[in-house]
Formats: sequence, C-alpha cells, structure tokens
Amino acid sequence: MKSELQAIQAEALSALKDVKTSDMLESLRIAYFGRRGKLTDVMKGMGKLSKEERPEIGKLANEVRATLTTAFEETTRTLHRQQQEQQLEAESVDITLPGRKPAYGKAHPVMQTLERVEAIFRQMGFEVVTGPDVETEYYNFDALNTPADHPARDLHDTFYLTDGHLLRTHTSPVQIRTMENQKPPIRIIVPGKCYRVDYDVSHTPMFHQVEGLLVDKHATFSELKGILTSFARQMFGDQTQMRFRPHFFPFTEPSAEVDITCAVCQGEGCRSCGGTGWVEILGAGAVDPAVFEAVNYDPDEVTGFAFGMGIERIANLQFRIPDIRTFYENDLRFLRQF
Amino acid sequence: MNVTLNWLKNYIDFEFCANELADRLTMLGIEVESVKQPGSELEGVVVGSVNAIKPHPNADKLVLCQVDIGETEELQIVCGAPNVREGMHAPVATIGATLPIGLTIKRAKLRGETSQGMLCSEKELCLAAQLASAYNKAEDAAGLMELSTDIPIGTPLATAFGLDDTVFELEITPNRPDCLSLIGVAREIRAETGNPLKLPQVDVNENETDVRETTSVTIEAPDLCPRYAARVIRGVKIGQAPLWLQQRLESVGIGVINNIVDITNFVLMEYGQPLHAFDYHKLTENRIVVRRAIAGEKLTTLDEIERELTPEMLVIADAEKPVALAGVMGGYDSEITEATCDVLLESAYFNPSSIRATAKALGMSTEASYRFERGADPGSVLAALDRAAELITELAGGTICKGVVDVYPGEQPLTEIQLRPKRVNFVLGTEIEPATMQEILTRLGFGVETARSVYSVTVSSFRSDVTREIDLIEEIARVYGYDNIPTALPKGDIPVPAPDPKVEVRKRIKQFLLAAGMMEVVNYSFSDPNSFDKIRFAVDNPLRNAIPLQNPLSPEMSVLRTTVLPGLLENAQRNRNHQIDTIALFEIGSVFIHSDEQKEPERVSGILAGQVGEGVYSNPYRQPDFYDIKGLAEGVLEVCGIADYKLQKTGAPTFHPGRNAAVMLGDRQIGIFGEAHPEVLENYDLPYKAYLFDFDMEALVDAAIFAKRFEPISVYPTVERDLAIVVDKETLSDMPTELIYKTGGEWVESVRLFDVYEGEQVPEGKKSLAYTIIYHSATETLTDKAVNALHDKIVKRLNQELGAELRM
Repeated sequence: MKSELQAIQAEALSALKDVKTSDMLESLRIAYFGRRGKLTDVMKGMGKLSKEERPEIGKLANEVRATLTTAFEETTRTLHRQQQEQQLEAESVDITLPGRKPAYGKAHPVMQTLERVEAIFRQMGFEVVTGPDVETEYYNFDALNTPADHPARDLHDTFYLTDGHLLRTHTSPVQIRTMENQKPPIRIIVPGKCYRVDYDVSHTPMFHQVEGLLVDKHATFSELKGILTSFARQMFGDQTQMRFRPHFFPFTEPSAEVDITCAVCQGEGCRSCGGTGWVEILGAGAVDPAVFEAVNYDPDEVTGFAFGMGIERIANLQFRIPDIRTFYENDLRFLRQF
Repeated sequence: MNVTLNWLKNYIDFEFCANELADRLTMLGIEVESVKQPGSELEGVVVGSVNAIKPHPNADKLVLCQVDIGETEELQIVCGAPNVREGMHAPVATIGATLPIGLTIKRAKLRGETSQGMLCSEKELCLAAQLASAYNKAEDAAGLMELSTDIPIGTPLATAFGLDDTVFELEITPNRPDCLSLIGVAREIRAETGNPLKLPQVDVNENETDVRETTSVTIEAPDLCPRYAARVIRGVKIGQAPLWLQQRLESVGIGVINNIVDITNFVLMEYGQPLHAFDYHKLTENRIVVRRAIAGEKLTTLDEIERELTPEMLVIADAEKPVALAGVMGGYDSEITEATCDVLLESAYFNPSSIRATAKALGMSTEASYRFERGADPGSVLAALDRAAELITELAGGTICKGVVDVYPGEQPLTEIQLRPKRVNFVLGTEIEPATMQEILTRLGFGVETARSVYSVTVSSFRSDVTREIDLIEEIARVYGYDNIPTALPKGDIPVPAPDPKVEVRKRIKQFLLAAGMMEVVNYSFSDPNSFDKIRFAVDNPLRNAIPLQNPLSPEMSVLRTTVLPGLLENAQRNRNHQIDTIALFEIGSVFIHSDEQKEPERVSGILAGQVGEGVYSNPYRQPDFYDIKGLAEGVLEVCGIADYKLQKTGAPTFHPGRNAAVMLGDRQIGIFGEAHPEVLENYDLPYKAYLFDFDMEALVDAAIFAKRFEPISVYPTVERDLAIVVDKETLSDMPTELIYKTGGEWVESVRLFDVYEGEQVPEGKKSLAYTIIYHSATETLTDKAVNALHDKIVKRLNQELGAELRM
C-alpha cells in the first residue's frame, strides 16, 4: 500500500505538469480526490490495514494528500494567473487614441491677472471694493484735485455722457467714495473698468485698473515703497528690482511712477524697454492734502498713500501680445492660450 | 520738449555723460523718453573740396575727382553726379563709413579706376528732413550736396551741421512749466550738482529815443493779462539767422523762419518765456491794447487761418483791431516780413486758464500756448525781453529805444510757506537732516529762513506750482532721492472688512462655469444701438433706452450696453467666421441702465452654440440642445444654494417661444435661458442653433444661501424601484415627479426621470415616462412589504390624478 501511495503521488504530480486548462485540472482533481478518485480509494482501504500498519501508512497517506492538495492549489493559481495574463493581453488598448477629456473653461487673461493682483493685496490686508463705471466730474476729477481747467485733464481723453456724467478714466473716484463713507484706517484696493478715448495697438477704449488706498494716523511714503516692493516681488518674482521715479498726479504728493526691471533683458536695456532696462508698471504717491479736504478728513490728523496700475499692461509684461486690442476680440484661439 | 547736451552746458557746468544725465533727470522727475545722437549716422563723412576733375577712361557718365579732405594726400573718387565741378565743396563718405541708407563705403574699382570714397547727395545722407535748405545750394536733391566754402575742409559733416550733439526728449509733467526751457532744466541740474547757473549776460545798448514816445500799452483786461512788457527796436535788417542759431533751433525740432522770429524762439527755449515780434508799422497808432475780443471780431493768424473770436478770448490789439491772439499765435497782418524795419517786441504773462480755454476753443496748440496755459514765469518777462532785444541788435542790426514799457497790474508778492522739518520726515518716513532740507531748497532756488524751528520758505516766481508745505516736502523728497527713502511695511491696524456676499457668489458661479467648460470673455461696455433690433427687443423694451456717449469712437460703440447678450452673440459670430464652432462662452459684467441713479446691474450671461465635445473618436461632437443650457442655468442656481425657484415660459422675443424659461423666485424674474430665436441666429449669421442664459447677479446674491448644516448619513439601506407610466403627451415631466414626492412623503428620498419615450408600443398622443424612486427611512429598515404598499399607493394616485397607466 505504501508503494501504491507513492506511485499515486508521483503519477499525479507528473499529470499536473501537463495541465493546460481549468477543465483539465478539474477532471484530474476528480480522478484523484473525487468520490471514486484514486486517492479516495486508497483512503477508503485504510480500514482494512492491520493495527501495526495503520499509523505508518496513515501518516504517509496524509502526507501524500497534503502534498497533492498543495500541488493542485499551486496549479490552480498558476492557471488563474495565466488566464488573467491572457485576458489582460487581450484587453490591451491603443494608448494613442484620444482621451475623453472633460471640457474645462479658462478665465479671461485680463481677469486672471486681476485676480492675482487682488490676491496679493488681500493677503496684505487690503479689502476689495468697487464703484460705478459711470461717474460725475466731481468724483473723477474735482474731488481728486483736478479742477476743470487743469492741464492734467488733457492726459485723460474722457468719454462724456449726458447730464454731466462721464465714464471714469481711472478707478480713483472710488477712493473718494470710500473715504466719504468710512473713517480711517482704510486699506482698500479697487479693481474695475476704466475708459479713455484711445484706440491703437497699445490702447483700448476700455481697460482695467487696480487702485489702492491706505489711510491711517501715520502712513508714510516709505510704507508705500514697502507695500509696492512686496507686491512687485510676489507678482514678478523675488529678483525683481524696483525704481521709484518722481512724477506728477494731481491727487498725490509726493508722486511717483514705479518701474521694474525689464523681464526681457533683465535690466540690460533692449527694444521692449526702450533701452532703459526699466518698464513702468504703476503710478503712486502720498494722498494729496487737498483730497483729504474734499472728504472732510483733517490732513494734519491722517496721512495716506495711493497707487494705481493698468492691468492690461501688467498682463502684457507676461503675455507680450503685440496688439492689446486682441484682449477684447474674444477669439477662442486667443483665449485658449492662457 | 527737446534739449541738447551742448546747449545745456551753456547754462550750467556738469560732468555727466549723456546717459548719466538722462538717468539723473529721470530720477528728478523729468523723464527722459529718448536720447539720440543725430550726428552718429554721419560718422566718417567729412567736408571735401573737389580740386580737379578728369574724364573716366572707360565710362562716359563717370568722372575721376581729386578730392581734398584735409589729409596729406588727395583722394581719387569716381563720381557720376551731373553737378560735380571743380572747386565745389561736398560731403565725402570716407572708406569705412556707413551711410544712413545702409551703404558701407569700401575701396573699390569702378570700371577699372580706383575710388577711395564717395561724394554724397543730400538724399544719400538722409538729411532733407533734418536740415534747413540753407546748407544746400544744389537745386537737384539727386545731385551732390553743395556745401558752403566757409566750412573748413576736413570738418566732420556732423560738426559742420551742429549734429554732433545729444538730443534728450523730455516728458515735462503739467505741474512743471518752469522746466519747459533750457534754463529751467539747468536749474534742475543745479539742484542735483550744486553747481551755479550761468545765465546769459545781457547788455542792452539803448539809443536816445524814449520808448514811451514810440508806443504805449493799455491793459483793459488785467485779470487775463497781469503783465505786458514791450520794447521797440528800430532799423533791423530781416534775413537769415546765423548758422549757430539755426542749428540750435533745428536740434530741438523748431523750424527756422527769419532772424527776428528765430531769435524769439531761441529765447523762448532759453527762458521758457514766449515772445512775439510785431512789425511796428503795421500797428495802427503804433500802440498795444490788451483786451477781450469783441463778439464777431475776426483775426487771421500766422497760419493764415481766419479765426472767429468770442468775448472770452484775450487779444492783443492795436488802436483799431486785434493783431494777435494773446499767448497763442500772432496775427498774419502784423507779422515780420522782409520789408520790416522796426519791431515791437512783446513779452507778457497771461492767465493760464484763459489761454487754455482760447487754445482749446480754437483747437490750437503752440509752443507759446503750451507754456502760458501751464503757467509761465511773470518774473522772467523782462529778462527774456532784454535778452531777445540784445540778440536782435547783435544779429539783425538796429537800435533799441530807451526803456521798457512794462505794465504790471497783477504783481503779486512772492509766496511764503511755513515748513516744519519734522513734518517732512513724518510724511516721508525718513530721517533727513534739516540742514540737508535747507540745502536742497536753496539749490532749487527757494529762499529759506531757518531762524526758527519752523522754516519760512520763499517761492521764486517761476515755481507757481509750489504753494503748500506738502509741495516743499515733495521737492525735498525728489532731490533727496526716492531711492534713498527707506522701505517699510505699514505699522497701522489692519481693518477687518465685512464679508461681501457678491464676491462669494461671483467666485462660485465663475468656478462652476469654468469647470463646466465655458470660456470667460470680456466685452466692451459700449454697444451698437442696432443690436437691440438684432436681438429682437420689443419696440417698447426699456432696455432700448441706452445711455449715449457724446464722443463715441464709432457708431458701433456709441451707447452703453444694457444687455450682455449681443456681445456674446458677436463673439460667437466672430469665432464662427474663423471656423471655430465649439462655442461655450460666459461673461460676468455690468450693464448700464438709464435712471436717476445711473444703475449698473451686473449680469451673468452665457452662450452655447455649434457643437459640444471634442470631435474625437472617444468624444464625438454633438449639437447642444435646450437641456444643455438648462443644466448650466441649474448649476448656476445650485452653486448659489438657490433651490426654490420655478421655471416659466416667456414671450421674450430674443428666444424661441417654445424653448425658453424664465427663472422665477416668487414674482421676481432672476434670469432667463433658452434657445435663441431663429431670426436672432440669422442676424448674427449663425448657421446653427445658439442657447443663451442671462442672470441678474444682484438677484442671485439676494437669494443665495451659503449656510450649510451637517445631516447624519443614514445607517439604514435604501430600496430602489423603477416605475414606467404612460401619460398624455402634454403632461409636463415634473407633474408626476411632484405627485410621487407628495404621495410618498418622507420615505421617498429621490425621484429620477431616466427615460422619456414616444413611438412604437406607446399609443398616439401619449408618452412613456420612466422613473427610479429611491425609498428610504432615517429611522428603520424598510421592508419589501412596506415599500410595495407605498409604491402601489403612488401608482394609484398617478392614475387617479394624471390618468397615468402603468407600462408593463
């Protein structure tokens, strides 16, 4: 019986090696483990053995059974793996076929830039406020220390409406509107549309500005420099150098125009910066006492500073669009690029 | 305004090279927009003399010239110009020179003969625009440029023409009229360097005739003319100004006319004081009356245009008639001509607003009006007058009558300002020493009295822009250098703003629309009034009443938009014209409503047209339909937390009458969406359907609900049952839905319509609607029995109330 068991084991192990399909495996399993299987038969014959033989043969029988069970399991796994491999191979796809991409939209490039500017100033504690596009001469000019016959009005080619109204030429009127309704400390930025009669490759009749205003008991020109330097570094990179140049605005004094190093030539001087190495990005200054007087603030009690920048200009430092009117043509081939 | 390096050096010494000076001026607030060396293009071109001419042995039209350029050896140059002759002086481009036309001169052989340079025409040197014809005696610009024999042979041409200088183009801000002159700019350099000014030494040689016997000045409008001074110069000879003076004027872009006018322009550039020279004998009674014009009066100005005058305009008149438009332009009839021998020279100060109004009314801008309207210096009226008078006698002969007629009714004491040195540092955030402040102000020409802790500063007459302490602070800051002001962060409190729900709503909507594949556009706020017809607005639609612009750029941009939709349709049209048909655009922007308050409601609007999808194997194109735009509109409402709205068909003419829906919150319409009317599509040349939505932002903000509260996630399972019913075709799909919710009560968690079918197996006039109902209880596990009972109840109710038959 011992030799019989050993023969069954050898025979079964060898048969397993030739198994190619799960059907073959199943019939082989039945041939050995089934009710009439070879191993089952041997196990059934155990009862006929003598008391002496039984422990030894019993042990051997259990060993053979365990060995074959393991071998069958192993073969099952192997077969399964092979089948899965075949299936996976059959399921292989052409990875170069186009993906099914969910449609996604993009914010307008000017809005993207505006949102970045807003985010930087928000983080520095500035509140975003807005005001109307249709303004009065008072808010757009007079309250900003620009009386009717002031030559500075020549610099703003204004669109006039009816009844003394006009389209604001800058977002500065919101300075006045805010100070009329609020007491210091004030820290606001004002994004919005502005309008000037101008239409060429570097001007659109409607454009966007962000105006900033900080008023407190003791706001200084050096703080203006600090805020704008921080802004420029965040907006244009921490290597950005800045230059504050004296300038003139009726509603700030001292006033400055602010340049950053030209990104094209890194300050070496090139065609896009007119050879100077600098590119103007904004105008700024300490709030003129006349403006405080217009809103009934006492210029001896508060000081402040203001700044304003054109968003198309800032956007174009990055995008370098030769004709900025392209911004408002809303051609999808253009909008998709940003 | 232009100034040149060499000319500036006449008024102050400085060591800066051109670029350094440009930098310094820019950092003082006088922005240098360009630095040009006009002579640099003429490098290697010198004055030569054609000493001998021989025929060219191999060419009929060429000759061999022996040319002296001041070197030891004469050059042989082959020349083909018809006007070349012996003894002629002409420009010679030497070997190595590159002409402005791009030609580089090389040693060459022309038809076998060596040519060591090139004799040049004016055209080849591109000089026509830069130079007065005074230099060129050749009639034919194609021929050699003939030079005056006065110029030494070998002189570089740039030097001969006064072009070896550097021209700075300055942007002078409107507050600094004092810098509209060379002396003004020199004063700024004085502030920078501390070097003294070198003002022209004026020595007026007067004759015996008292000027008061020759003329008189009457100011009838002292408010508009605070000062008027005149001199009379007799016996001048009109002709060309000397070369140096012509060159100066040309170098800064002022044309030359005759010696008298050129001198007034030269002094204008020196002092910033506009002058005018009258032909003394053309003035009736030889006298001056400064007065307002009389209505209907006319004056022909120097540009030979007859101007109609109004009583707001100030004129210079003689005893009878206007002879000049004060501060703007002289009169044609009294101008200096070749016949002029006696001159009345005017130097005056006019009211800036008046000059500005006159120039604007007549659409004129001259060197004089530009300065007067910004504010000239009443204090330099006499200095400029004397300087010009002296130059006239020096350069045009004649003698100056004794004395000046100087009528000065508007004389003002100099402004005095109290300056607190502490305040300077307070405003700037600096620690500038008071002594430094004093030094800066002194260099700028202010008088500074420092005896007390508050300084008393006297403002010179040329700085009319400085009237307050803050003006002085700016002066100190800019000369001290903005770059030297330290950088600090604000120390004050950070205000805590109230949250703005509009910002949140706008952000959510934008995020949703972008994620849904819509591209953001920004359109002009201007609109074409015809667009109201194009989108079929009713004749009485109040939105047709758009605010007009008084000075529009074009008819297409002549009103402020009252709706965003035409802009979006134009965007679709434009893209369609470029064969881009996947059109999904939105805009968030204001429209402008005519009202007393000038309302500017914000709109959220979108357009879907052409096709959706990518048109690829995995994601083919399909046409959008009503339910695409509805889904977008629903999404907008959902991200605002707005659920309790109703949809209602409208008769809005922009839309397809059967395919549009107003979004109603109670009685308030907060938006509309649907398919554009076929005529609208036609009006925008769209070959396919377009779908629009248009929401009122303010209404969305009012209705938006952001508050969220956690709802427990149920531990009990849900039970799903499908239900297919056949109803009349006209039954709206949400009627069964509502009935299911109503009947099912709180056990019905959701109802989803998953199929709508008409056709085979469904009787004529009927449609099949298939729903999935999810049953669920928050407190127990629902048994099949309980669900079946409720489901049966729902079926029965649907049958009773809507005549719905169960479809098997």
